[in-house]
Amino acid sequence: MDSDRIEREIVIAAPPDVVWGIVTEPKQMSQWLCDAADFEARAGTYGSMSWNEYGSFRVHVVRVERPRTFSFRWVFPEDSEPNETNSLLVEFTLTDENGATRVRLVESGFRAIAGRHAGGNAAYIASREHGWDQYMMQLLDYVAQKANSATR
Amino acid sequence: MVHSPTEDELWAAMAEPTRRRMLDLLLERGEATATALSHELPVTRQAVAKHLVVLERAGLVVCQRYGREVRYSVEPDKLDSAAEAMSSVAAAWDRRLARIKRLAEAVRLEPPG
Repeated sequence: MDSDRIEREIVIAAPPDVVWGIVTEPKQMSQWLCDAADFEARAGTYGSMSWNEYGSFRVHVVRVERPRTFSFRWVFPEDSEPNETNSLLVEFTLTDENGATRVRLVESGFRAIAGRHAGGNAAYIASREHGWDQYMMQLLDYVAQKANSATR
Repeated sequence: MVHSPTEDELWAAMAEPTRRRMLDLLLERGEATATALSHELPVTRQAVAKHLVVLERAGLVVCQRYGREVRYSVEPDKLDSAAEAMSSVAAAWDRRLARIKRLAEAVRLEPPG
């Protein structure tokens, strides 16, 4: 088990530019990810995503290369700039397959945020949405280390 | 984020390297006494006993008495739930990707206008 990243793939019977719109447009995103999204799909900009149940959270758009790559960071402390040690990176890669689209999703950084101290950080969405907590991340990291050393 | 005392205890329990090493040893052996653990670690039996109290309070280890001996072992449920947490994130992404697929394929079915 790799405790740092999640990788998923799906093939969609629609061309990449259609899928691109759904993945990157805030209005569309509210139909598959959150209740409302407010951001501009432009690298380096900040925006927000909100869930009726959990509240509003900042997101930072990292890469936008239409119609292939879209990535953003989330789950970082409200008062900090996101980086590889304090946030999760979500990356979408779209590949054309004879008019259909293969969507690859990678979410990474779990190990980094597991190491973040519990005190002084804003609530973060992944933990809330999944009923997680800082300690759960810590445990997860530990379990993964055990699993890795066992297979070595 | 507001943590209940139990969550804080668990987090603190996992954050200490000696205690993590103790969990390693307990996982390897299945169970061990405080004395046996202290032979494997650069700390005294008293220190081991204190760490065990922390781990026990956090729900990470359980103890069982065999006559005069108290043997400790890892509480498996806690570690299992950590492993499940990762697969629940993966499942959440599967649901999101399935929604993207539905939306995109519905667009395609609409007549061109």
